Amino acid sequence: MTFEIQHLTAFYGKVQALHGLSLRVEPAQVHALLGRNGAGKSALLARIMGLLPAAQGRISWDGQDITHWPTPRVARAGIALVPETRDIFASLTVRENLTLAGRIGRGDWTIGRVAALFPNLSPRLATPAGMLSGGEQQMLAIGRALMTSPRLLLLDEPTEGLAAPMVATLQTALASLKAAGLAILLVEQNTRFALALADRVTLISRGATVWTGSPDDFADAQAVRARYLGA
Amino acid sequence: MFRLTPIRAAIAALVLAALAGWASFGGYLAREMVAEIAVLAILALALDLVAGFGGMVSLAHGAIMGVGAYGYALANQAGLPPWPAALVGMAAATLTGTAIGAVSARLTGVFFLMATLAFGQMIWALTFRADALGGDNGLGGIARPPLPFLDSGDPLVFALYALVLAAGCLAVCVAVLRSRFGQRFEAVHDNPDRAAALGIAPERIRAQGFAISSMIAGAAGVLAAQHMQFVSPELMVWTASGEVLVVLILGGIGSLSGAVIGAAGFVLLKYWAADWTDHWHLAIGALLIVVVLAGERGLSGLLEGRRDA
Repeated sequence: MTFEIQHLTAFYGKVQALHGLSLRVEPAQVHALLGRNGAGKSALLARIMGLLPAAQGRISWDGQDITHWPTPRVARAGIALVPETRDIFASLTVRENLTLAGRIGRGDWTIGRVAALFPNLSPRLATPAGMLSGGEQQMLAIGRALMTSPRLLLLDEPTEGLAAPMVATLQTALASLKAAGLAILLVEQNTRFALALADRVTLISRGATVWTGSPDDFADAQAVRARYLGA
Repeated sequence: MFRLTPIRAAIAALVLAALAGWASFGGYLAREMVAEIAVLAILALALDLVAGFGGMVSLAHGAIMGVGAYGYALANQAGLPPWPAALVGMAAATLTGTAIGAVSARLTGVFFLMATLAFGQMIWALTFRADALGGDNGLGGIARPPLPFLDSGDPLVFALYALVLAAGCLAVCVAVLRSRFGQRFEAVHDNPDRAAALGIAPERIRAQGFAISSMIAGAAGVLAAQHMQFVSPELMVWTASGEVLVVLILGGIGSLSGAVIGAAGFVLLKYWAADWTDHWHLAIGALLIVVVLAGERGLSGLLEGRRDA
């Protein structure tokens, strides 16, 4: 279940967002994707899901070329996206958000398992999702993605706008998902959060990969960090 | 996602009960009008399902209803008893809607509108020209359904039968919207990309919703054919579809109760204004503008008050 991107390009309308980006996510690893705003991180996730039209390059997953697959098919193949905007269905209850997709994939996730991972959600299953706090909505968005039983989870800035205790809860939850064998492509602005979980780090700038290495190497690569993250 | 709030249920139940009372104690004209309201309410419910909850504003629903009416008429003329003929009419409308939905559901906004308009006009033109369908003259001598212990030829019996059918269609719409399918249908309208990323195919869900709505429009057509005992291409003209949209906006789109109260208001206003002037469309038009300016939630929304449901 290796996930690999080679020389990928993508456009928002006429604006090119990805300029030949390559990366690889190994099973049961967290791959952190860092970069400034507008570097093309969200565009990459949208392109993987088929939400941005295919241009050049290749996306392969589990030995199959999924570059041109329509979005629902990508989802059914075991890739799930938690968007930065979360986009929970506000007028559905928490439970309905979780069961909406029905049993796709192998069905190894249940409401009980999501509630065990995020105990905050369990007393709120009958609550309209629009009434949840920001942190709870983030947990619901992750839970909803997990209900499709993915093998690869695409997370777009999950810590954005969350209070410190929520960030800690999230870190524990993601660590346990990784331990359970899930591969995660983690887009983050919060470098410390990303490095705490990551097995591999990729830096992107202007829609292309500029650096890849281990978290330890990344800690040493001060020049790279200064240039592409300003840190 | 859709919650039939107590106040919406009360609005629909009160309107239906008031119509039943009016039919019972009113004269012949009242009974005919109640049957007309019931047909229009069922068609408006069908349209509300796709337009109000799926964002698919259809101008083919008049034609789809017409297919239901002609299906019933032809099956009945071919010797089929009324109840099986009614199933034929509904099946014909469902098949038509499935075909239209399969093509149109990938379109949105004004392109969806134009596609449904084109399909509706094609159906109308084909019917208008087909000698086997009576052409411009339509088809007559259509039977009403036999009812146990009751005579459906009696205007009061028929009016009450039509209201029961309208209530049944309302219940079907509520059940559809509350089902897992209904949640997906609204989710696809709410955020198609998000639904797709969860493995739900937006076009397929939209097409299925259109087919279900067409079945209900077909029921309206069967009821219309039973009521008039006559069908003509008039049923299928695109302005008939536009009229239902007016009914829905008048009553309150996306509430289901709005379809019922809108149909009643529209028919009553039409007859009342026609007593005064030939230009009854002007009165409806003026009211429509007032309703839209008053907050786009229609008569039903007005009765619900300021609370957001």
